[in-house]
Amino acid sequence: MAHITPREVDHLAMLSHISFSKDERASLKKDLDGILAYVEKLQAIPGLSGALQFALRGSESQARDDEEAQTLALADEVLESVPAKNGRWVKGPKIRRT
Amino acid sequence: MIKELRDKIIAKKISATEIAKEYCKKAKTQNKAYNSFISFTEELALEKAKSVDGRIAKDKEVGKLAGVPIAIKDNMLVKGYPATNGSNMLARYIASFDADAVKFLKEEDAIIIGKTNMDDAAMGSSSETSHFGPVKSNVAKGLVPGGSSGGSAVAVASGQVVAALGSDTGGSIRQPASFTGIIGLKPTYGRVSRSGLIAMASSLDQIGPFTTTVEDAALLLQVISKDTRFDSTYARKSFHWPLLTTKEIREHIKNMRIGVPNEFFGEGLSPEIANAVRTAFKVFQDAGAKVVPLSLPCLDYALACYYVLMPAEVSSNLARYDGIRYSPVETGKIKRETVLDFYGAVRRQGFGTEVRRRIMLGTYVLSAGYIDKYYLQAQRVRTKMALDFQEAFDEVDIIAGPTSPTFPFRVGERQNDPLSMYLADIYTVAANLTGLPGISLPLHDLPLPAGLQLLAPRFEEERLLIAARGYELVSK
Repeated sequence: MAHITPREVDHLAMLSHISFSKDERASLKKDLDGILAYVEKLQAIPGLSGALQFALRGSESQARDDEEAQTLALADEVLESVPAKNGRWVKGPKIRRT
Repeated sequence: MIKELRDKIIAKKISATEIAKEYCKKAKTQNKAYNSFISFTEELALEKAKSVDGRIAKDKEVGKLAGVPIAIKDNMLVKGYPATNGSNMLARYIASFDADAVKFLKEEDAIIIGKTNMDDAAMGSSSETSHFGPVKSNVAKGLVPGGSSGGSAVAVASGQVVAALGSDTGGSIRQPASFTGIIGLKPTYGRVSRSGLIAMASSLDQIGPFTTTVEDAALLLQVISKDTRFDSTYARKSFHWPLLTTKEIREHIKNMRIGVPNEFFGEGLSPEIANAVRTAFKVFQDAGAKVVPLSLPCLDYALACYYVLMPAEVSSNLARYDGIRYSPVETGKIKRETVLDFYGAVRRQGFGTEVRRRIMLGTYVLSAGYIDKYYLQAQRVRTKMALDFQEAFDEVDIIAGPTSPTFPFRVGERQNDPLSMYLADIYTVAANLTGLPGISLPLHDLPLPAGLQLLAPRFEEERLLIAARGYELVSK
């Protein structure tokens, strides 16, 4: 059974910001159909309540107390790793239109 | 092995510099056969070794890992060195800070030999998809070493380093440990800081060690689980190994209840591996432990649940790779008319097939019209699994089974069938979904390597490692 249509594949590619060739699209549709058929079994599980519950004993809160803000002097190191820069700006390619 | 080497160095029987040079040379030479390393950090290694030797000469203190050669999976940042994530997208990226785990290793004077090879963006179970070529198994030609931390596993198994760090999102430490015949530990989620680990699935990722002994795994966990400010999911529960005697370990084993879920012995499990695992249980029983059959029906859904939640998080985490801040090529080399075309072209070039497949799958399960059916349903299943394990651990101390259903498979065997590749992790994903700690230990008397997996409740690595050490002792 096909879970995903060719049109949906194109829409997903747009949402994912990834381009595909025609052959890649066909192969991807086949793969996604197979995987979605496998995960379909999740729909058949009994005994799950409608609301998400998180009832684990001993779940520790990992929220942090507000701490004093500190400046991490990493900007120069980070800028060293970008593909291109112009002074302290990250440089991107020229795009004619959005 | 770590303690013995460190003691030798402190006793000046051998210098840290000699060890660093020897292991750097060995790693580079053997890399032609295994392709386990993407890059080497020789300068860093020799600098640290010199510092260690200098302090030893003056009878000053040195760290717990002084002079010990260690490798780091290439999805963890080592400042000033490449961090490629096994991916073309980050082939040109140089780390601007140390991952916390790396920082802690450096603080304890570990000698970092290099960055190990891995599946593209940590997505895979065979280490075949790396942009830098596949990792080759130490076991036999033509077999996969497992993945995605295959490079780290082979580096340890082949003796290129004494220990290595990997990351485990769905089994990527435990499964390659199983396929290469060594020990691989995935700590409790929140035990080890993920700061500086390139994110794959943020609620599932965890850093852990590959070693050849349980004691070494315990020591490394102690080092890398230190406190940090830089990961809000870090639980601030650093780990301390209690250094029990052999007699004390055997006493613990006598009182241990080991749960064995029926679901770990279903269709697809190799009969030889099943027999070896049952033999391991017999060994535990002979040492006084009680083996308790269990049923955890949620395990039948674990892989399906994982392959909804993990791609969802992947699609979000990899959105940042847009050709602006990170790019596989020099800026300006990819020219397109529109922003979306530009993103599409860069990401097509930067990511391999499996990565793109998972991004698309994740986008689908999060998209309008499908999010309730897939993502929210998987979250409910995940919560149910965690509750089921919690109840099971009221009855038993440890849960055990095989790490992976098969022996290491052949190179190329599963490349064209994603589902068959995913099934390699069918027993390991549950621990990531529920945050439990898990360890893979080598099984004995088999024609190829396979692993025994032990699981413990969250933050019970002490119990887990005692059970593992006990298995090491009684199974010899």
